[in-house]
Amino acid sequence: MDRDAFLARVRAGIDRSTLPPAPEADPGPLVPDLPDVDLIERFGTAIATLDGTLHTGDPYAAIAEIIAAHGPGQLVAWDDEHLPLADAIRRFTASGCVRIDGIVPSSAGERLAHQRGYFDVLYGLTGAEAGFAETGSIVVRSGPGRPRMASLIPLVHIVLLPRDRIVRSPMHWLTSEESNVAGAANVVYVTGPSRTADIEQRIELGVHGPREVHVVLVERSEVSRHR
Amino acid sequence: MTAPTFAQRGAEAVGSEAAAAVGDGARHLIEKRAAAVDAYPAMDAMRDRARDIRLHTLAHLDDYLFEFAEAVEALGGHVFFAADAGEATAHVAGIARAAGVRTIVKSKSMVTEEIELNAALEADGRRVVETDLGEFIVQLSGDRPSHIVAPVLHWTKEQVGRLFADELGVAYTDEPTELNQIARTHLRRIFLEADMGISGVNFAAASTGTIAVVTNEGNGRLTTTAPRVHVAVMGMERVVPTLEDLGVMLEVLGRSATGQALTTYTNLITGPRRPGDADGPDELHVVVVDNGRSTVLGDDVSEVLACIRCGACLNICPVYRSVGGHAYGDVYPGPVGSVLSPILFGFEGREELPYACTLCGACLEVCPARIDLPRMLVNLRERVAAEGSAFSWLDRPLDAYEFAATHPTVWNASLDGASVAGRASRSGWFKRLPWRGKAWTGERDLPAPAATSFRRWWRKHRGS
Repeated sequence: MDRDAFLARVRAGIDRSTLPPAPEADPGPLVPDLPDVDLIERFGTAIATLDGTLHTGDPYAAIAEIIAAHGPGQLVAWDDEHLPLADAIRRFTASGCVRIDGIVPSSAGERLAHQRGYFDVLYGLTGAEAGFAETGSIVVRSGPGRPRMASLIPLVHIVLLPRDRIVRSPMHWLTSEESNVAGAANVVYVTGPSRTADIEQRIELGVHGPREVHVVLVERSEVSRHR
Repeated sequence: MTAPTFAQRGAEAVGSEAAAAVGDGARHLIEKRAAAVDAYPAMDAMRDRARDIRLHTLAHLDDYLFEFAEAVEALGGHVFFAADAGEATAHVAGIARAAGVRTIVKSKSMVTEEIELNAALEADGRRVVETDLGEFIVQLSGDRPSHIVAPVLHWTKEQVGRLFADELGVAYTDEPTELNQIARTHLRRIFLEADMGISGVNFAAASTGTIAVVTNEGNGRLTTTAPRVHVAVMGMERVVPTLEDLGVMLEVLGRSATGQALTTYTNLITGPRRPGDADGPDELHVVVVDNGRSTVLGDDVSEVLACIRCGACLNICPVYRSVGGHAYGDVYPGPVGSVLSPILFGFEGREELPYACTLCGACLEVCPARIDLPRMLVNLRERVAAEGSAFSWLDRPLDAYEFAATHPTVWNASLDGASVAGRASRSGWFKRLPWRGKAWTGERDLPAPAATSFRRWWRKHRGS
């Protein structure tokens, strides 16, 4: 339908409607008033209830522990310059992991051929823009050198999260200047591993996305917040 | 032959294995919601704000839709406004044809079920695969979803095991972990090879052109990331003014639907893949669907468009828990469906839906947008009654009642008659009644009338 005609029909509906009274101006967001907590502790509690894992100690030891548990496998990762921990990718490749290129070609045929290579990816390694203490979520932003697939296609997702990026709740982050969600084609809040309860309401992990999510805390990051 | 009515479908469903499974699942979801709401001190304030944002948006919906479309187009996306199901499905079929698409993956979307998009695409020679585990089971079996959030609430794991063994050629198992792995492996290849992904839209932000697609499984992300073409189909009421407003909706959606503070993946999409981006779809098409919504907007029940499809009103509804989703006959079951379906799709054959309700008010109590469904159900009942079409079998009994109530002699005689019946019951309860009464006593007992009517008792004891 022609756009103007469509919108005129909507307007006619509004003019006939008996909607309850509503604020004339956009009421805007509400940042929740939540009790003060230790952000890291609260984040750890939240992600544990989601069957995710928070690693607060030496990040390299955490990575070594994860690789030891699963053995070598394929890796899709953000580029080094986008990771807030030096030498992180090499810790995987030095342990026998093979890094798959995360740049997907645009042409249909090449795209297909490339993505078929994603079938058995074991590890995904990404940074994170933010962590939400209230929900145990982390935020990943797409862009050059930051494939979306790295947090989606592997069985095990390792997130390098700078300690100072943990905020109280999703609304605290979304209403801050840092968020700039529309500045990227894709921003995702990842709240624990992939899950389903479709069969008899029983929770199962890793139905399409990662079965394990490991959030590894790193020190204050020098990586710029990408716009 | 006329289609079965709600009462007929409901009567068949009550006590069935499927309806019992739906009831159990719904009760489980009620508990999870209650726990999440209790754990979040800001919930009440967020619900108030969510309601204000939704109602404000609806009052300016044309402006916000215009702004949204401009924003999506500025990012290189395409927007199409579809007046009805036919226009929407024809447009999506056209996109698929133009892009040379063979296989389409879909993430769960109520509006695409409403417009019967799969059938239209399949008729045009495309292969369409549902990827939400529940919807995948529904599609594989030719069944219909029974809940808008949990589509196979009515299935047992043994049934799923038999289905997978029959349809996917795998060994039978009824172990959910294994069933889950079978689906993951089967669908993963299809995801990575599909040319087009079709998603719904939970919310859209007008000012930035951002759309939110939330899923727990990750199929929503794969659908909108792996294929080179992404088509997002949205009911026109999904829009809110800004991203920050959208954030308020997310605050209440997960907690109300499944008792999650956030759904596992909150996928915020602002335009197609950008220059230099590592991956993502090269094309983004948004199809904005009216299909009766502007009629709803102009109706006494316009408030129902504030609905965010969390399903909390289904779970809490004693009628829904007894009859399950299929008895309602349409895509949208439960209290919200009983309001929405008659206006969206017409009253004919849906006259009983406003009566599929005890007016207990529980749906209003749990609705994240505080939509007054009971008020609207009463409004619809008045309209059905004015047409005189829903319960014509009640007309004669009511005429008889009116006659008795306005003729004292007849009234007294009928009370005496009732007392005789009352004396026939020694326990004071009727466990089984004949004829019309059978339906009542099939599910519960009926208290027997007193052995002496009050009028008689009063005449005897007055002054003593």
